[in-house]
Amino acid sequence: MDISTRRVGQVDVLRLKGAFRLGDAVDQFRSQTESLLHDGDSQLVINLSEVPMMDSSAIGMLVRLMTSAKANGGGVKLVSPTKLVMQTLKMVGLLNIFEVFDDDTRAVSSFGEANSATG
Amino acid sequence: MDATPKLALDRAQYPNQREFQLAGSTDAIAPVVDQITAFIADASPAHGAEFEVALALQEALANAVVHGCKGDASKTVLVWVGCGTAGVIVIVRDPGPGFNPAGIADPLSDDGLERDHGRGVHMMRQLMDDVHYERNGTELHMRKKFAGGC
Repeated sequence: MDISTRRVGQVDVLRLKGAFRLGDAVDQFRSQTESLLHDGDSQLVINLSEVPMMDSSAIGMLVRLMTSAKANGGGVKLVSPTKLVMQTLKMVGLLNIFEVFDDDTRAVSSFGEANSATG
Repeated sequence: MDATPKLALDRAQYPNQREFQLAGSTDAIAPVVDQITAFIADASPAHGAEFEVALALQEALANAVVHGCKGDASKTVLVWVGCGTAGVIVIVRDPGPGFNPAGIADPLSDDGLERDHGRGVHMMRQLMDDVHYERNGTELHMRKKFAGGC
């Protein structure tokens, strides 16, 4: 899985490409997000528009990331999950836990007025 | 290598069958999931449950590697796949001590939703028509019906 990261104001936008599942993909995601959290970043947008499938390990990573980000005053917003990923998130009851947006801009703006000037 | 007896699927019910195996390493999972889904697709082109079967396989093999093998690449997971008029059956046997499936917490409870693990079995049960364990929890059996069979 490829992960590209860009900074928009106080928000980190991560765009994932490929299957998000146990193994290298989850390890890579854990490493990058732990690094962001370590640097004090806690407002994260995860673009899932090019993720064809997500397993329970990946979902667990997202839940853990959400918990850590919230504890630091931020959060995790999802953007454009594919149909099958949406189906998977629904299957495990997490569509009420994660906010889902149609595009990065709206997800970034949702973090609040403090970010809107740069978003 | 697992010294336990091999498993024989009913040839009449599942005329297309194959055995797979993988090392107890997370890196080994995705290639075997792809091999098995390709085998099923050959036996039953456009069966309409590609997503469900692939994701259930991913979860089954992940559990076998992570819990059954504890990530030890010297250990082996055995997989039997059969296709026939009844659809597809997948049996995954790991070398671990087993577990009690009834002891799995509900991932949809308030506490469960906030946990970072414990969703795999629930997902398999949602994705497949029948999921159960044998051999003290070391052998997973799951079935999916296909319209018209394989």
